Amino acid sequence: MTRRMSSRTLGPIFLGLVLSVALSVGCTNTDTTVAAPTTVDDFRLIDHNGRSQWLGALIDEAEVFYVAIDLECGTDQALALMQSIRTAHPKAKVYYIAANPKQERKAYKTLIKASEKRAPVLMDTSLTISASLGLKTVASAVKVRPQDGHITPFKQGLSECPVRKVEPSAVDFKADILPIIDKHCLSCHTTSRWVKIFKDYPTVRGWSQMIRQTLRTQRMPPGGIDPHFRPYVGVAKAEDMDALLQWVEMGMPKSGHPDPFPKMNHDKIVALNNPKGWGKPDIVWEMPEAHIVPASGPDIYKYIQIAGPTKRDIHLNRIRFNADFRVTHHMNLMVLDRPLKALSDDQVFSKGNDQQMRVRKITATKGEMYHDHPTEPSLKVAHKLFEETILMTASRSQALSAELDLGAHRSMLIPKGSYILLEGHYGSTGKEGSNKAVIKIYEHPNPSESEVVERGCLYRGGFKIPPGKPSFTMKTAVDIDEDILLVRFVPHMHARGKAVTYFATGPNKERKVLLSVPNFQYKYQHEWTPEEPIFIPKGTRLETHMVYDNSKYNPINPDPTQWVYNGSSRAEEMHLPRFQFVRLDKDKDQ
Amino acid sequence: MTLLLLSILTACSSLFLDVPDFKRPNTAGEIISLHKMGDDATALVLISHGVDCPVIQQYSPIIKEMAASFAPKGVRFAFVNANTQDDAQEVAADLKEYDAGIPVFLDENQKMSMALAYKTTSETIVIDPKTWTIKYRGAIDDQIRYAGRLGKPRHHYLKDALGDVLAGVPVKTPSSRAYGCAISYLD
Repeated sequence: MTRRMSSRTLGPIFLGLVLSVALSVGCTNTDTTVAAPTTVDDFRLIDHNGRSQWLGALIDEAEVFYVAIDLECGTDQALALMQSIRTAHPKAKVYYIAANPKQERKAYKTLIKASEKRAPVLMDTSLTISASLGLKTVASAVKVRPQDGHITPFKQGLSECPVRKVEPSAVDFKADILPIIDKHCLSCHTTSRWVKIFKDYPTVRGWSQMIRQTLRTQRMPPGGIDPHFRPYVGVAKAEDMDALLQWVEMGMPKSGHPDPFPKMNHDKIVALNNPKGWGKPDIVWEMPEAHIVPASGPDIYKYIQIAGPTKRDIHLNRIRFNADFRVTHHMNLMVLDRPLKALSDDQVFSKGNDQQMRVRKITATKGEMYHDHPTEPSLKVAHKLFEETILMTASRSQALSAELDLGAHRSMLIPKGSYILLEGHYGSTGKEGSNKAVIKIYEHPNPSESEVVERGCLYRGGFKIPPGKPSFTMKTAVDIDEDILLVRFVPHMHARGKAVTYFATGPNKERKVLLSVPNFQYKYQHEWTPEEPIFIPKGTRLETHMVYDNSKYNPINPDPTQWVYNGSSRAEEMHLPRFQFVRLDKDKDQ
Repeated sequence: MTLLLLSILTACSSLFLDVPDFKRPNTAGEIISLHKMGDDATALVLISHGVDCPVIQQYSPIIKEMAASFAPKGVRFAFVNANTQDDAQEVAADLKEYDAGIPVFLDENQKMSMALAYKTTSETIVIDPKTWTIKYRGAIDDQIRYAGRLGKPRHHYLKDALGDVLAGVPVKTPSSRAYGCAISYLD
């Protein structure tokens, strides 16, 4: 009773007591002149090799060192500091971190290659992560305990070169930040959609820590792409995301402007409710019955045939996909040469069924496809390039509405006699939901004059991924024997998917990255369209690397103790580096 | 200052002495008291709540089921909502839509959540009302992550912690990492 009385009356004193006890036992930094951070929140950065490095995955590391480095000042001291840390702490995880808005990957590659002090160089282009680690001078280091982010300053003052800092004047709320939010955040987060952040400025501030976390860990905007290599449609530029994070870390200053969000929110809802007028669709396919998603439980897959056999060739130009994306992660619109019939999900998509439904081989592009098993270093198992049966993936991350618009000059063929299947991937949301998708098809008015977009896949089955392995890479390659244009990348993996890269090695033997997704997000099943289609000349080797994380460090790994085989169920894995292309040599068309 | 206090509280959560009483309105505007709730309870479960948070929404049916199954054993569940952007009406509407069936402390000045050192919604605290000490802090289970959702949980942290508290033995896993919507403590 006494305890309760005192607690009731002494609430503020209780807080003060905790504070003073905390201070007296040294829970804060002992540096009394400048308040250095004592903990660092989770973050993800791309390193100089293009890999995504995530603090949150280092749960088993006792200590992680971050050494501030710069190419222009204090470089040798930073290398020397790394050397001394490696000697004194041979088992510790070590990183350089480079605070510089300029991408200097090539220069760091050269530097690190020539040095014996090898470690990933984290590209802190927003400058905010170095600041949150409390790194003030180049060739200083901090030690972080990954489990709770606790920071211990390790070495300081080896150089006088300051770590670059964000100048508060560098970020202009109205000119810089609002257009970025409008383009990359608002479509999904209006008050008419999910997680209604942008209702007004107070609401945005109420979500500020969540926004900060998703930006620091590069979960948002979804997709996990490395935007370094070329521009893609709808993909945020790295410098825009850096500016947004800088603004958030500054405490989201509105700089005296009136609250712009109610109008932005309203205007976006109007735009979302009035999609581009495409007129009356030529064909409408509708699910004959709804898929029901219970309030709680594991993710589910369901399949349903919505049309077929089709009576004529369909040359589609645009698709608009209406589904209830509150319960729908994504839906695959599939074109098959056989009906779904009575095949159950288990039968069609069973473990080890390598061919699955990818039955048509692409015959005109005769390039051989190679499989590379990690145990066999050379690319040598020949295979064919398969036609991809999935025509379109409609996912909830497609912000405006799930649409595919091939543009005025292109079409995609659904051959006569096809069967149209929908594959729905659903997740529970806390209340029962349902999805009865409607697909509107707009045909090309003049198909004979359109370029035909084809779907290819360097499909691979028959693999097995060992338990516990954090990075298991599978490679495929195909020699392209005619000139083509690559118009879209559609990689697919399941919950162990970690990263995917598409490369092209041209006749001059130079290997170029076409697409790099170092932080593959299973949840979003993104597809990427380069702003300019990529010309692939005859004689190019197209190669893909897909990396899987079957370890416990992958937070959504269903079971890190098990071997994983090829299969369509979520517990299994898929290896589908898909792409869409146009043939440039018309005479080769069949 | 708020952030400094928060970081000290969270960095030094082991220094937590006893949980004081908090009196806050519920969605009906009635003042509810934490200690009064503990009068006839064997354990209290306080879950940080936020409107429009997908993690809380997904956990709502799970919370409802657990609250019902532990009610006969004298365990009481409640939400604590510290979101400055959620008003009472929005919280009421959200609780109606995602029916977890438990009351909520509307922590309008955020001081209750700050004192309890909540960092994110869905973070769950188990309190022993005999001693007003915190026996468990962390996730309900490990099913829901930012990157997606496991088919079923591998660890039932809350259920196991409650089992230990009811059995009068030390909680085997007294903390875990909670995934939810990060709470913004605003001045």
